[in-house]
Amino acid sequence: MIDTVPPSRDGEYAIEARDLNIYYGKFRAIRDVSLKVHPRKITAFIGPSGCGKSTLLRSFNRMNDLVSSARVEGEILYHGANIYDRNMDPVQVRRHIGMVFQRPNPFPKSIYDNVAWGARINGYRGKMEELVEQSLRQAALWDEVKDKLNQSALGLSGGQQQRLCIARAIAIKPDTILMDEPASALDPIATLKIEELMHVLAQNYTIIIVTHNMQQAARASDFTAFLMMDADRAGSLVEYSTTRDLFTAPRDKRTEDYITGRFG
Amino acid sequence: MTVVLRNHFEKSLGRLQDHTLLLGSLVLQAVSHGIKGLVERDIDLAREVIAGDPGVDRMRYDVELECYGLLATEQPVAVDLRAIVSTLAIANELERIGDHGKRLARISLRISNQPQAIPLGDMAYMGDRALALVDRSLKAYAQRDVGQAKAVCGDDEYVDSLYKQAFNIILSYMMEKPQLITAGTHLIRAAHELERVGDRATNIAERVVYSATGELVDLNG
Repeated sequence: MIDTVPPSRDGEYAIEARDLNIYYGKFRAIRDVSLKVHPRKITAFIGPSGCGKSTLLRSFNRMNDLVSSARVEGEILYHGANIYDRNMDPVQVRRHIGMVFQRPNPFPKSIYDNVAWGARINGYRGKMEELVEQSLRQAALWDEVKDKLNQSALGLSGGQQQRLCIARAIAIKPDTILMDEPASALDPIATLKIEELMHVLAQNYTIIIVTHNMQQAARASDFTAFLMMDADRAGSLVEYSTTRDLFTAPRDKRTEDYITGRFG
Repeated sequence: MTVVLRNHFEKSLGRLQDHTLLLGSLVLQAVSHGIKGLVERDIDLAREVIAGDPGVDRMRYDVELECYGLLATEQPVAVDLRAIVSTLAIANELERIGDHGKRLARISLRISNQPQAIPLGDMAYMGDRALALVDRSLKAYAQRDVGQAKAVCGDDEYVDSLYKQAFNIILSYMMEKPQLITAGTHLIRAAHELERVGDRATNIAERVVYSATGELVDLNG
């Protein structure tokens, strides 16, 4: 595996995977992945379908716990603590490491309630109206919805719904946001809005995105990790570089073949 | 076996390389005729070189536009991106080599009425060496041959030394016979044009190395 990502400036990482192996029953989906995610940067996972990039992303906030056959070996360090430690509460993990999914999935409630929901569950004691406004502003949605906060979220366009889901994730004050193909169901304009939003959010949040749109990874990320399936279909990390290096001068021939559309 | 998913793009890259090599053969001819016009006092040939230069410029612009088109429509990355941006730089160098040929031709027109007392055998030899460097850099480009490209840069030093030698010889003629100063000054300029042709061959070679490896390094000593 080639890792040319320079160390973070203060030596701190948002998330660090160490010798990670993930199994679904007997099938190994991820083999020996180690990588350090820079804080307040955008890191993209790319690779062919089935290479395990979504599985890897989901392991970062223990979403794979919801799959009964899934088993994780190795460590994922979050601020120095292994999130798979026996006494680690997955709900707490997900409070700090939020997630936005491929298809926008707002609740069939008002726009306001969608954003307030997570904070309420977590016993938020501040002014809810302020939190909702602040979250919607950060998600670049406030101006479009401020006059219809009590209307159903399902009346919004796909792109607006996705930004609402980002606002909902932000409202519980995570420091890392995982995005699994966040724009694949959106048109090009809505996609660019999400990418712009990612750039703004990266000032305060660490963002990890899975995308099968390579141009999106090239446009929108600071670092890119390329994963590939081995002969036994287990995904492994081939190359992890700055996005600029990976897309101009990849070190591994397999990376080059994949991103230029030549398959070995 | 490697499966190429982007056949259409692959063909476009192939055409781009063909057009660049065609531009290369045109400027090689321009310099070669420029030298011949000078050494053999062939004024018609010199005029032909000058008249051909706008065509060289046009072809360079066409290669450039082809590159921009591919950048805009194909979103090339990695080796493909490097091939296209290197071609942009190489087309620029080639056009400049054509300009050196044009200037050689102009010099031959200027000195056509001057006494022919300074022997031009060295000039012809130096021209051949400089042209061989361009030819080899273009072969390295066509074959993505890093070793060949680096060898071109090493061999340019020889052309540089030929220039210094020509400079001293022409200077000694001028010191001996002041009536040769006009012709001698023009010939020193001509030798300098040829020295620059060699430098441009190394610039091309540097881009070939970048295109093949992603390393952008000064190979020009």
